[in-house]
Amino acid sequence: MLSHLTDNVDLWIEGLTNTVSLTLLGVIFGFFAALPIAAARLSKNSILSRIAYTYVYLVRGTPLLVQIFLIYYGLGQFHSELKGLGLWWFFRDAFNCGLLAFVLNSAAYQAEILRGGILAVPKGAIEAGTALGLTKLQVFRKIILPITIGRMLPAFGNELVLLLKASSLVSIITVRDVMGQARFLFAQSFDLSVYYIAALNYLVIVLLIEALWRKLEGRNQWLHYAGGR
Amino acid sequence: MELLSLLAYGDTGWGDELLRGLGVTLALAFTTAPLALLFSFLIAWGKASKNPVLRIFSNGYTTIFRSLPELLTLIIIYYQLQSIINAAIHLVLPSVSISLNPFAAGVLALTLVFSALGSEVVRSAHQAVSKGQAEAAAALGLNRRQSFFKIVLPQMWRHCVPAFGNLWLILLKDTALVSIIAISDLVRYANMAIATTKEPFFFYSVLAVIFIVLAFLSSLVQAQIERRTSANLQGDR
Repeated sequence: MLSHLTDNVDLWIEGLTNTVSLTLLGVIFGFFAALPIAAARLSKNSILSRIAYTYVYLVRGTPLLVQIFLIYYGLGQFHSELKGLGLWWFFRDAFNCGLLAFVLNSAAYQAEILRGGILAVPKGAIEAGTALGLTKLQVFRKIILPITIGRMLPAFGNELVLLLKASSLVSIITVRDVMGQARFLFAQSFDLSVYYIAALNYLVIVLLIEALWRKLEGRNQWLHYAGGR
Repeated sequence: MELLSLLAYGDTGWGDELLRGLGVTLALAFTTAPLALLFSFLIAWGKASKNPVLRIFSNGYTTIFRSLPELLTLIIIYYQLQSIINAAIHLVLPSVSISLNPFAAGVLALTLVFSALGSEVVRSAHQAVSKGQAEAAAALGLNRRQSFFKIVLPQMWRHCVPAFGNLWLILLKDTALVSIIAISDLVRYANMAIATTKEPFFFYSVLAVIFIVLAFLSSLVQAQIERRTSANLQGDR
């Protein structure tokens, strides 16, 4: 069984690299895309918040697989237009399409996490910041965001694991991530053990993420802070 | 307009095929949900058990099926089950080999995943119902089964329903994966339609709309159920 692992170490490493980079890039870019969405969602401007809500609802209501297909195959239909715009090099590559789908998808989920976190920031901290003469942006960057990120740490860990699992979907659009390598090796050998090797890979990464998060959460003071008045 | 005619019902369009696929998707979700619900309670029970073997098994079960990608679980179950069944048949009838019904494999795989997720929901709901309730029931002379079914469980639903509603939405979306193991669900029919019409953007958008509608309908039902399960908390006070 292990011969599939030892004979193809380079394939598995390539797979792991793809899986990990898709997941990390997806979460990180997703986070930055989530910031304006969360801000719009909380904005007093009802049109802005409604647009953001619609986006979040559409993304969360449809399967990620359909979103990936829509971007990879669906936009591929407009390749002459995309060529005209000079964007075809991006959408031609399955990895890029998968990553774009992850970013758009994760942004919606992370925006909701952020929104919940921002709403839970103790009012006194914001008022204290304003009293010290900080501008709105400074209050957001220096007070709201650190508290929110700290408080939302468990939810972000969850999102990271979910995105890691979801990253296996790109194997369907021919990306050679861990799952993609397993499918490739299975097509050659018809030996099921390659899927168990892939399973072991995912299990180890998830356990590592969980261990790391336990550490981060243990350190985080905002997680245990009940909020003064 | 031209595109919409592709959705015509009958020989000219793909409306009837998509509707049949939707039926399979819904059948899958509606078969999986009650099974997963039942197993959620059993696994949660195992986690709270005093028997260490049962406890380790239940915790391991949850860790594994929560960590593996649903797609991988689906593929492993589909092929592994098939080879186990065939190995068993070969012991008796060496020349016969059967292929497993992919629908059953899909239901089994999704049940494993969602009972692992659901057991966590049940566990936290059980913790949310205060211990005093079970103690009061015991003090009144109810046995453990009566105490669970008559006192604790009815109060657990209120805590379970929102999380189970969430899981139901995830389940609906995850059914899209079964098209990979040759179940003729919504996604598979859409892929067939795309293979002939070469209109991927249109058909995948139609899929997205169908899933949105399903999510919307589910949220209406969920709101109704929530109103009912928390009825004791509403009204005059």
